[in-house]
Amino acid sequence: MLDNLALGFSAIAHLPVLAAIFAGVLIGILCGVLPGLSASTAVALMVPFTFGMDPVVAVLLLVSVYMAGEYGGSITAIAIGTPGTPAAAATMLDGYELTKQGKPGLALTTSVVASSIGGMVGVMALFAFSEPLARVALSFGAPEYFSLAVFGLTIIASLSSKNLLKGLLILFLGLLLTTIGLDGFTGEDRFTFGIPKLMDGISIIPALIGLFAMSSVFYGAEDELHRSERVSLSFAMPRLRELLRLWKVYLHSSLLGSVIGVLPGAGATIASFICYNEVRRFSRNKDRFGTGCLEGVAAPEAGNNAVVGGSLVPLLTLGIPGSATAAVLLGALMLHNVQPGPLLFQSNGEIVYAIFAGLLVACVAQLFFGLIGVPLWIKVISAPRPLLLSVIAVVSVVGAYGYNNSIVDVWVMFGFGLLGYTLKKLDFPVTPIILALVLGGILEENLRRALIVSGGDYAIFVTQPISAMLLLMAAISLLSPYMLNRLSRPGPEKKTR
Amino acid sequence: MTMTGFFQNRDRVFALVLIVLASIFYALIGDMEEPYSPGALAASTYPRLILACIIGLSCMLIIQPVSSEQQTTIIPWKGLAVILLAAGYIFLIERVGFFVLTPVFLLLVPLVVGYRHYVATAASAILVTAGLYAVFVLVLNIPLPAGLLGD
Repeated sequence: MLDNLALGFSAIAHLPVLAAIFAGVLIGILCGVLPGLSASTAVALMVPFTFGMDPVVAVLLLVSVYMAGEYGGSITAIAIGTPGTPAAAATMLDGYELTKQGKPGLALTTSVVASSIGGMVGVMALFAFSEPLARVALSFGAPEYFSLAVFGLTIIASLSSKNLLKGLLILFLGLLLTTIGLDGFTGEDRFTFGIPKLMDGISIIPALIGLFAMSSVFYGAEDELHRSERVSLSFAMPRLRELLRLWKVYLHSSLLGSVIGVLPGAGATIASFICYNEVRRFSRNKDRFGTGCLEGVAAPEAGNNAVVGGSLVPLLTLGIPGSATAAVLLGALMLHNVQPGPLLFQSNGEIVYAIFAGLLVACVAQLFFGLIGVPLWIKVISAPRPLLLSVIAVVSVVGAYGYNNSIVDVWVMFGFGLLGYTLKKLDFPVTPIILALVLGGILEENLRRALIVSGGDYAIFVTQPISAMLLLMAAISLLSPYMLNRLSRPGPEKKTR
Repeated sequence: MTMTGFFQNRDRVFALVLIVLASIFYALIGDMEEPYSPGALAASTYPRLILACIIGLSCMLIIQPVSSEQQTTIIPWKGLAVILLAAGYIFLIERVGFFVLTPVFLLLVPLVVGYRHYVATAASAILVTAGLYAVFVLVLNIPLPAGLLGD
């Protein structure tokens, strides 16, 4: 096992790879700091910049953006009380209180230390679980892959917990979009309307750029986002002793975050709140939470960064994305001819181990840039938003064009941008359509293959033990967000005398 | 509920649009070639199943009780203006070219959104255009539309 990690480190010990990791961390923090730009949008925006790159360099750039993007949101949450990413909302509860008390340096340092430790523990979990899981998955056939895709799609339950019906509707809409193009079994064309470019189906990368980046431009243009935040903070750094006394919080939240990351769909936001509540529940000073206590900053930050490693476990071993950002990463990996799944460890082992090693380096880089760059990140918060929106729009257009040198792909990106914007305006979730675009092809192909094998007998999905177990897990996954949401609600307040 | 009340609810209008579209697509897909081996699904079976689910779920969305706060959605003019600008940019980029059109787009979007720092906008328009050209064309070797500036 350690040999494999050594192999990973040797794969990343090249200047272009290390430069990609450092650049990814800087870009990730930058995007995380800006409210309205999530880690998913940051990764989607960066995909076009990897088109001509070596797969190892490209993949490590993107995973570094993902990791640092989750951390970057906490800077804005602490400095101005506006979470840069949804996952940083829990950090804001105590982090912004510390800023109001004149201790932003304390909160920001605790946040970056906890994030980096959480990130490393998440990578360890990825390292420990992915290879054994991939070995099990090697025995999978068509029924198992169909059930696996169903399991992956149940992620929508957690992402649509406000209205499951809306989530399911959007999911089926996404599945319908994956049927556009020539049928892989019979060669007949479906919903192409005579447009030759649609014969190959919808290009996933332009679609993802549209859903994440272009829709955020349309949405941001009408918002009050062009209001620039002017922030000036004084920085008093905490003592090492203050940071070390939180070791139990780092460990507890990192382990919890890693496990939550592996669960499809639970994601960084839920992990942050669960970690915050769990640390608060076991604390002897529950009343201090929400008034500016360091445990309240460390717990959600360690938790949401540990999710990154955890969410890559199902992605790399089964080819099933555990979160919206992982879905974008899946699209990017396929773009670079890296097919995630159990065979990945045999066909592209070097890339897998490079991801493990690269993420560990990214955690260290994040700690470094997080500690020294705080004054710079605070300046970024003041960046004029209208300029940023126009730049995102141009990068989206150029990125979609560069994918295949085709203007049709740019219109696909624009169409998906409009779709994402409309769905946000109508309060429908966007993520189900992303998961459907990624998993729809696997779902149909393996459903039809399995039925050919069984001679049309649908019982094959429940008589095969692994397939039946996966369908059962899908049912549990559909219910789990409700259970996790119940857990993440604050416990009953201690009565005051 | 009155007809006006029905159409003021955005979820119901959206569901109704989906039912109409899904029905049209259901009719369009038609009957496809018979399966070539026992148990195989025809190319039209899977999309039809999905379309049926969309129609069923849309019907459920229409009949589900809704909160009074769900009303019609208005798209502010700034959002609409940026959508139109982006559509125009995409329509013209192959004809006019990346290098000519991009600075114009980067100048117009902040103006439409209400940003009035002209020097910063102009500087950003030039720097971003040059930066993207350098990264995509010079570093990544990805050609961008030349348009008026020729091949």
